[in-house]
Amino acid sequence: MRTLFNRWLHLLRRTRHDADLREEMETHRSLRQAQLEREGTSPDEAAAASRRAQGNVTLAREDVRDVWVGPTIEGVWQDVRGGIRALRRKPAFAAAVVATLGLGIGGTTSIFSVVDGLYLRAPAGVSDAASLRKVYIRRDAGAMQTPDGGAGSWLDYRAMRERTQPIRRTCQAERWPSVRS
Amino acid sequence: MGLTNTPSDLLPGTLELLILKAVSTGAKHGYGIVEHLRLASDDVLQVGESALYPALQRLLLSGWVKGEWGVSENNRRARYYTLTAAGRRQLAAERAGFDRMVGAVQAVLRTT
Repeated sequence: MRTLFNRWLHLLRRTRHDADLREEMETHRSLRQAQLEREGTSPDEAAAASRRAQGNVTLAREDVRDVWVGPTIEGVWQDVRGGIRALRRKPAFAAAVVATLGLGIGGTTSIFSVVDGLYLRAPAGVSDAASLRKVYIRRDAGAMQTPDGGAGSWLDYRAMRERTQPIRRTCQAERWPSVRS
Repeated sequence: MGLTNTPSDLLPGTLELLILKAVSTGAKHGYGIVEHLRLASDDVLQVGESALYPALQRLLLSGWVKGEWGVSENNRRARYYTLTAAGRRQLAAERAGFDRMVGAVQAVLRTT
């Protein structure tokens, strides 16, 4: 967490950071040069020797940048390319993967579309969907009895419409016809 | 061993351990750390800048050392590094790990 915060801070102060590092390394070099001169090396030679000892400064600065930036977008891109190459080496496997994913996603989407249209959305032409209620009719007349209710007949619907005032409007909208004997 | 400019000349993590140890006794700038390592190791460990500064930046990033700007012996701006509390814990942990590693290597070398 702290590391993440430090990385983010570095991003904001990148230019400053690089200048600091350069100055720091130059101080380092000058201290080494002074030390060499104290040991009896001529100033010119000491300057050259201290530069040699420094190694590759540009590379060091790039290494430092890598430390702060961390795993780059380039690394992600390399992974993608590696993946594509691996799939290309095994075309049959790649085809199986694509077919599996395609069927899976396609099947799920079409089933959800059907369920959404039939059960989750209000039927077309209903203005205030929140006030919509389902009415079941239960008959207790001998052989005509349907224990689980049902949509009722056209006559039921007409009778209901005539006798009930508070219901603003009724509609016959059973879209999943139940099989009745 | 000559000048070390790549950390791979040492066991992985060893340079960071040595730096943590070097700054544990007081604030040092980069050159001070290198000189400390050179003198304490009888001229065996000579760390170059291109190994030292990336390592120091890794320690800064992890919050194990902190740097404060000051003035060097030759009147230049220099960053002085000190150990943080987290760095002190890390030093103890890495030291134990290093001892275990060296012990393991020696155990292997002793086998006949």
